[in-house]
Amino acid sequence: MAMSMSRRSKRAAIGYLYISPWLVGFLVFLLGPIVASFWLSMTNYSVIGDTTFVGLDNYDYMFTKDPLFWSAVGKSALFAGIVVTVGLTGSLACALLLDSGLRGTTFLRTAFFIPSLTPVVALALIWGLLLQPRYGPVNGLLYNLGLPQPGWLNSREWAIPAMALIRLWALIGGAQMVIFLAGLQGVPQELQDAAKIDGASAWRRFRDITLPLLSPTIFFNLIVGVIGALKVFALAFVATGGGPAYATWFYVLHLYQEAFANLNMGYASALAWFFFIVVLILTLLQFALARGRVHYS
Amino acid sequence: MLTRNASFDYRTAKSRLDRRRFVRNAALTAGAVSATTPLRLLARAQGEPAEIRFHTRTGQTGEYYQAQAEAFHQAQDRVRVTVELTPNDEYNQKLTTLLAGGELGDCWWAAPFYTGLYPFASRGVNMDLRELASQAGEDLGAFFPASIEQLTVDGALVGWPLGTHAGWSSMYVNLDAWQEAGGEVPQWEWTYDNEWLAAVKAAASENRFGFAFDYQSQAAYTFIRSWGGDWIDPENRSSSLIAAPETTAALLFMHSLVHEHQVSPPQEAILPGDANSTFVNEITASWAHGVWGVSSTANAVGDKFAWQTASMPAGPGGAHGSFQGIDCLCMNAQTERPEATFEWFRWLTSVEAGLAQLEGGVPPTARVATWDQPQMAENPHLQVTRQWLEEIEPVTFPENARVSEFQTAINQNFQALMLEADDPEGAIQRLHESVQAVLDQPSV
Repeated sequence: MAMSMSRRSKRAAIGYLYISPWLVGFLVFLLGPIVASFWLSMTNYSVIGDTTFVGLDNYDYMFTKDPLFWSAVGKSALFAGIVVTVGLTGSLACALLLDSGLRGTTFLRTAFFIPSLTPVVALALIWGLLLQPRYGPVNGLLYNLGLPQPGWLNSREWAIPAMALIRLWALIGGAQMVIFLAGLQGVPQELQDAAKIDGASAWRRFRDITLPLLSPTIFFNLIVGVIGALKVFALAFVATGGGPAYATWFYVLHLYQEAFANLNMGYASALAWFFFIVVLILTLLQFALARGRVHYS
Repeated sequence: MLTRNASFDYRTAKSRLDRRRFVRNAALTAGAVSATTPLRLLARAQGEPAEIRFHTRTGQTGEYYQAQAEAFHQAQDRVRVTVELTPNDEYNQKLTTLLAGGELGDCWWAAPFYTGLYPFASRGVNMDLRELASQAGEDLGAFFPASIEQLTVDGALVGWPLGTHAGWSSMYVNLDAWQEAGGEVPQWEWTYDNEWLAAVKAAASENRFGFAFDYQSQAAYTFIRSWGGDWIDPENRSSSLIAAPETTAALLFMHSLVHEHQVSPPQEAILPGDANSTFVNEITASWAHGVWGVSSTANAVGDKFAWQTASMPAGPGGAHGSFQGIDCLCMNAQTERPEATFEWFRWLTSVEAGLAQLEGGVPPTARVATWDQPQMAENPHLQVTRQWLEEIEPVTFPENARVSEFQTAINQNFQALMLEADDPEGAIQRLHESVQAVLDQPSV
């Protein structure tokens, strides 16, 4: 018995030794900084000055005194609402199209997917030119069609919709569509055939067979999509710098500005922790709401 | 090709590197290093150059400093400079990260709106250069007084004056467009609300604006101070003056150029980049900018059209207002090579380098005597700037050193003001409140 435990301990030790490179990396580069950032969120750390413990002062400032905090939260929520709703619907529609057996499916799948490979910086720069209100081709086309030409990224009212448009152009047809396509492949054809024989319309078959069986995939894409949309940063940083007039001053951009422009690292750490808690709550909420609505086979 | 010997048991074989051999090899290596160390130190004492690291930005100015470094190396063999370039948008973050990691170089380029000057100096990062200047026989009176004043923090000289300028006080004028409109090139004694506005209106047409300006705080100084206002009270540096009548009047005038007179482009008509693109592409007949942009504009315009710089006009009371900007060289208080680094500073601020600065996209030298050299005295672009330098004051920075937050608050709310068609007074009040909120923050 003792020998068996000793051998088991030795095997466990060897196992830990094998995973030690990853373990060290995890502790040093992930868990360590996470714990450190929690501590820093309760200090006035500014990288190049003395650090003092301030307790919950950063959180108090965040909720009660920071003039940009709540507007940044609202703008990020609005952006996420648009992108997740339209993105999920659009990706599902593309997946259904590709799953319908049309000719040229392989070409269409590639064509839909290519925009998602565009780097964010290139996306922001190119679309910035396309959506230039006076000289851009998009407004040029709208002008020729006799339609109003919005200010797009130069307009406070249109900046967020323009950002959403750019994001959706790359999102729909990307990984979400591919995941939906894989989910659709898992819907048994026999069920569809049986429903067809029973006289069910295409909409009834979609609503009562496809959607329920696709619910795990939708749920996964929803969680990942919400987290990704709330994290929007690079697009706003490159395309508008948070303007015009704070119109695209999203939450993560606000965090970046506090950390790296204003050197308020302690406060930025508090912002990061608040973001983490919000995303965690949203994810748990989605899991709670999924009970009874997501059907796993 | 290595092959494994199937009969050889690697688990029990002795290592080739046994303890005795390891100790012997280590001793031999240490002995070799020790024996050569005095020789290496002697070589350095006998003239191996001191190596220093200098941080600056990429682009035209980065190329200028690299060229100056090569010339410096050819002229002497005591100091070797490694120029480390970083894009402008990441420059502040780069310096901060290097400092946090203990890897900041011996010296760096800085300007008042950048982290490397006041935020660093307020934390003791910058060396006081007065003693080095005294040892080297440098007379601080050789520089424009406002330059030394701006670079003095709590009695310490935290930067060495490299270049100076008069803010956005130069008006780049498309002469072809101006003459087509039959207008006279703006004169020093013109005022914004009289001859200047009339000329700008005449130069505007259906396909072209008359005048463009950048939507940011530094460009607005020329208007605000010409009206007798300012962003911050220069006495206490913690009160916003935006709601004061003079500043409000200046901002409303800028607003009227876009919305009432429609001679200046709104935000969406300014090409991506800045108003320079708008001027070069003849979307505007004139543009407010600084003297440092002359060479890059000349390169961009080429033979497209004839152009020159004129002076921005005076305010309604006849005063020319702007700010005296300063580019400087800062030294790391922890550097082990202060004399070598200061030698590099003296090279960059010599008369010869000063004459080359303008071609390198660097603001003209802050050394007064260089301005009397024929190459500068007879330069029409610099004559405009010289007149301004004799009238204007330095920038007023927040007392709490929150420069980045101050600039962001102004720039974002200034955009809001220019976008606001119906209630500019309300937008100005929000701008005032936003800036005051930053000024009310504790010091960093």
